[in-house]
Amino acid sequence: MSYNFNLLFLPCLHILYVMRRSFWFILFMWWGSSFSQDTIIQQKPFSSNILSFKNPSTSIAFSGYYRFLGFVRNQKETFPNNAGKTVAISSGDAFREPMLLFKLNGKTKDNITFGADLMINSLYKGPSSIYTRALTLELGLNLTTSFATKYGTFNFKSGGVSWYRQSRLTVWGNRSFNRTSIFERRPQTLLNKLPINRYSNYYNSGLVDQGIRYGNRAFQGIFLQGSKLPLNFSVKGVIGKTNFNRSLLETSDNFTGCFQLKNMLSPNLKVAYNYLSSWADTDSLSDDKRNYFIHSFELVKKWNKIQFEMEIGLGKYSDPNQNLGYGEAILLNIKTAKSTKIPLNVQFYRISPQFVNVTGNFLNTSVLEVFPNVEGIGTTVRTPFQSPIVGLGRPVNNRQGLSINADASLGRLKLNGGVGIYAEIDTSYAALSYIHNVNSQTLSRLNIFAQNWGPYNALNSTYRGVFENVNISDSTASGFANFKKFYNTIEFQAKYNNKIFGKNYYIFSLTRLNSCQKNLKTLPQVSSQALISQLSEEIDFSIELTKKSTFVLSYGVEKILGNNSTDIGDSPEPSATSAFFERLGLKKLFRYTNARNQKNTLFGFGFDYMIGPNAMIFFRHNRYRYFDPNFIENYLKGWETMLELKIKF
Amino acid sequence: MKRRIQLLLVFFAILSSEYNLQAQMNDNIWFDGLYRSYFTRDALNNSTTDDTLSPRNTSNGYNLLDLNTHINPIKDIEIFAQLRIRNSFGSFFGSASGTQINVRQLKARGVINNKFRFSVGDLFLKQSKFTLYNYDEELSGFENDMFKPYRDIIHYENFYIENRWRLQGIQTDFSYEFDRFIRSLSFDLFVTRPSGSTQINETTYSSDLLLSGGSMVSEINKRLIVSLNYVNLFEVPSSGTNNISVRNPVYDLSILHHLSKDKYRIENKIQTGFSKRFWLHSELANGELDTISNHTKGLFFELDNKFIKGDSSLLLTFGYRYVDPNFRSAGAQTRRLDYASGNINTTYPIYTNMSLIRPPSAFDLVSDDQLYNQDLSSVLMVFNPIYSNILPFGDATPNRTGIYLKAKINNEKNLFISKINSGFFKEVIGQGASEKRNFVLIKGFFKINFHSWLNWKKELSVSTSSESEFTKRDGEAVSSLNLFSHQMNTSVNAELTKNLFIQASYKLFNANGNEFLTQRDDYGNITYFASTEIDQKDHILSLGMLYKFRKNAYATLNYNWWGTEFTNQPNLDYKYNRLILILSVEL
Repeated sequence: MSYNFNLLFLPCLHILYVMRRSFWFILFMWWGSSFSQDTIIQQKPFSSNILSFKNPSTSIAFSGYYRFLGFVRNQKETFPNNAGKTVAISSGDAFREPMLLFKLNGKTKDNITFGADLMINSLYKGPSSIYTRALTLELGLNLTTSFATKYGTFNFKSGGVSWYRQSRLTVWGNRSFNRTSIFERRPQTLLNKLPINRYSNYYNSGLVDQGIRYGNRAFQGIFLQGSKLPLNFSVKGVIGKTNFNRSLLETSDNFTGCFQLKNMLSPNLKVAYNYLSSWADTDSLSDDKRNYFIHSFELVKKWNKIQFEMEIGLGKYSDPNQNLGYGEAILLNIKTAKSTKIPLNVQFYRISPQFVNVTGNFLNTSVLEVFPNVEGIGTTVRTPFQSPIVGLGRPVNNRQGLSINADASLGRLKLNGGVGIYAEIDTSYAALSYIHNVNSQTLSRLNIFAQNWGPYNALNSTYRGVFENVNISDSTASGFANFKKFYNTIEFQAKYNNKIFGKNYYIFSLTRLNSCQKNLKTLPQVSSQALISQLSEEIDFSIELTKKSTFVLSYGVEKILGNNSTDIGDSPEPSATSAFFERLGLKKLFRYTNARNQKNTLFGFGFDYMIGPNAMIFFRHNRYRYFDPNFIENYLKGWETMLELKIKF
Repeated sequence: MKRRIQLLLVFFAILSSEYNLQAQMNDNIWFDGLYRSYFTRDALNNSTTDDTLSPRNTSNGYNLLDLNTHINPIKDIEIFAQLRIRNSFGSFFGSASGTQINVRQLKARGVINNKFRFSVGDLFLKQSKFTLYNYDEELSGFENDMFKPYRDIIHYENFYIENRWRLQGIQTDFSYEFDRFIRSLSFDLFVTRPSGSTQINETTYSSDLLLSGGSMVSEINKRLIVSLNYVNLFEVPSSGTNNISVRNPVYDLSILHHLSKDKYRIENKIQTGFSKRFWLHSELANGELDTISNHTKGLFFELDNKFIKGDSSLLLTFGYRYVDPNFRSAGAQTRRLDYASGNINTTYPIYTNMSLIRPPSAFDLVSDDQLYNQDLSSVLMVFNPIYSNILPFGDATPNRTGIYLKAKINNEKNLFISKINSGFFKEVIGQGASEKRNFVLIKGFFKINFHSWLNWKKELSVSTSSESEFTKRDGEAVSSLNLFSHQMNTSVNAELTKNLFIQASYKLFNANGNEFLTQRDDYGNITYFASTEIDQKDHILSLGMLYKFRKNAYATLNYNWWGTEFTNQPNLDYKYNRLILILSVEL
């Protein structure tokens, strides 16, 4: 009986209890909401909670873009270590790029601006939570304010990543003559008003807007800029961190600071003093340091049709293992005005091996350690280190040389080109490196930011590029070459525009010939005397189909030839440097070699289509081949297809 | 998952708010917040010789943006989300280890029918000093301006706002006005969850810990206000797998009488109440009835009197307070500083070649926001008698009875400001001995504004403060104790050019004597008294500059020399230096 009582009566009691409480509660709340006094906004008799008053102090604006990149790669031929996966289908091309870039720009009533760039990505690989991506920042946070005084106007900025530029020897992003194929697009590439404008702009100005990063370096820290100072002085500087010269431990000291003091002596004469110092602890106890500093002096003088630019500097590098001492650098640039019939640009530079810097507009080849080996940072910024063969306008330390560039127009045909001769100042590692001109982006996508990969451990991926290392057998016991290296470069670009059926079309042809040899030569070499010869030809064709659409074609071919002082392949039979001439029997135009004999080809086509204002679709399909008959495992072949939808807001 | 949903909600709210400049034009959405750049470089002092294992220096920093998004979808309703974007100094291109994006606060609040105020989500609640109150931390009483940026960060990061506890739940209040008998009657109710049920292992879950409370405040007439407060911290056993749950109701009654005249105002307040705390054993096997254990009851009483001069040149407070040894109030007795084991300093946590855990110093308490606590505790938390022995749990410290006197004196022309805070307390019952501890607290602060004396436009001020605590217990040699601690602060503020200040300060803290550290079990019962000898001296010397860009926007650059010396102690001395840069902007 008691069991039944408990079973039936207790729940009833409980329900009654709950109902009674609920009744009182509802009555209380109803009473409260019906008869209580009107709420007074800024005053109340009692509340345990905090008051809130509307006080909008900040205005916020949002901008950014959505970019979907559908990517398919089908490898017909792979490197031997491929596990069998030959097809890749992905959203994005594996580089760290935002799908939705959401820029937040705020401004307070006090005129302080702040910003953050949120990056929102999705792999589109299914609803599983393991495929969701955390919200993150593309670059970082920034705060800027300015204040005017009677001594000048000062801008103060904190945070980062911010893009900063000072002088070519201290802080300056890689910037050369913009001779490149524009078939492939980069995520930062801005949208044009019309699809054809991308090609017409390149035809007219030779520059594709790559965003604020171009020509600048990434910094985090405190930035100060003073302008309109007394006696025509201006100053700017930063102290913080770059992604170079880093310590293994994030909490160890690793900083870079620099400043520039500039004076406009007259409208046509500018002088500036630049200073840069970078230091990083190299051990966990912070006893040892790796540091370098630079003093430089800039002079810019303009005459009527000629501009003279010069920067001379003195640098010093030391670390626990070596003290390089002082080294000098000079950059000289004489330009004629674009209005002259044939605008000329003469460049001379000499940068000693002791002059070390990784944030300037030149490649460091003296000290490997300044490239960081920190996860997430190091590999992305490792540029070619071992005696790189580079194009015109890209200085390298431990090197000196001269280049002449010229432009000319013949009606609708625009020509520009240059020739350069360079020599090492001191002997260096018994190795070389060269940057692929054709299929460079394709190869870099195969193994993102990897070092010494491929069947011969010679490939190195950087951001949307690949360079390859070459060993030289003629070396000392300490691994240095027995000779100084000499470099020659020729670049020639032709751009043509006309109309067909009333539609604009553009043809861009880019020829590049580089070589490195043991002796000084006036022109690039392709004979067996050259350690490495690199010849490439890229042709881009684009035609306006309608106002909203453009069709593009691209073809590229690259030939790399080594001699017997460089790596010898594993094929038992030598191969002809030119199968075409071999077939024709023109023995003077080819030779047989066991060294590098690479041939890279690319054929691609695509469409650019404008959906609406600030919204475009880009389709690209390219077939690639990377082949060397002497290095029999160096054989890649396949195709890539990309569909990009970009919407800017 | 919860975090992602919160993030999605916030972003949906922001995105749906129209992404262009209309956002600022739209009255329905508005923003404020905080931006901060923070950088420190800590270094071993050159005189340190017995530590060759620690790095000679370490540096840390970050930039953060707390963006407060206020959305008013309809009149009288606000949805509030605080989104934190934090980027470590040195992490480039959003590397995973260096970037954090979190929802820091999310709540909705509004007024129903223009009468009924409510809030849901993150709440900042405060009731009376004995029911729900977040007391200030040690060493923060008369601190100089130089440490204000540090203190601001500690308070901001730990949600310490106006002595409120940050809780998550629902709160409502409403009031009535009457034309006879009484003038007004206000009600305030809340239910919050300080700690939710979590999975401990495969089969064990902790219980939800809830805090509910209510207040009824009535203005009887122009001179008399009566308040009733109730708060209860309790666990819901069925929400977990543990059938033992805490209950800690606290009841509070206060009567405030004030008399306002042209030249002065007098306030008299009587406040009393009691608490219960026990653990309920429910859902027992074999249908046994619920039982309770560790049951304690305690009451408190306070008489507080204030005299305020009409021109605010004098504020005088004196009173008497009694708090029973068994008075327990989780909402009022939870401490900010958490000395629990495992909570170690952020700066050089390990020191010496023996890799010892470094005991905290005054500098750590001033600068390290990671040492602080945001969770309500159902039992009395551990405290360090060196830094606070008389009122470690604020005015709600149990087992205290005594009188206090406070005064604040201002000069009419703001030439000087002085403050005095004193108290004479003793234990209600002896703890571990029949004799009772006697306490004397004396604090004083004095600031001279030389610029006011000299009629300078630019500020030049010197301030100094002295804070002493005496604890003494007579009796047998084995139980007697005598502890003295003293803190001295001196600082100079000099405005060089407009809004640019040079600052210098020196803080010296020393404590010596002996005390017994109380050890307690999980139910707050004392299990042991550990005798400890104390003789240490902490110092902080600071020199730096401050630039005030605008109101609520400043940059400060300081160098601190700090350390601790121990005399006849097992701990070894230490000295460190710090360079700190803070840029703080309230948006």
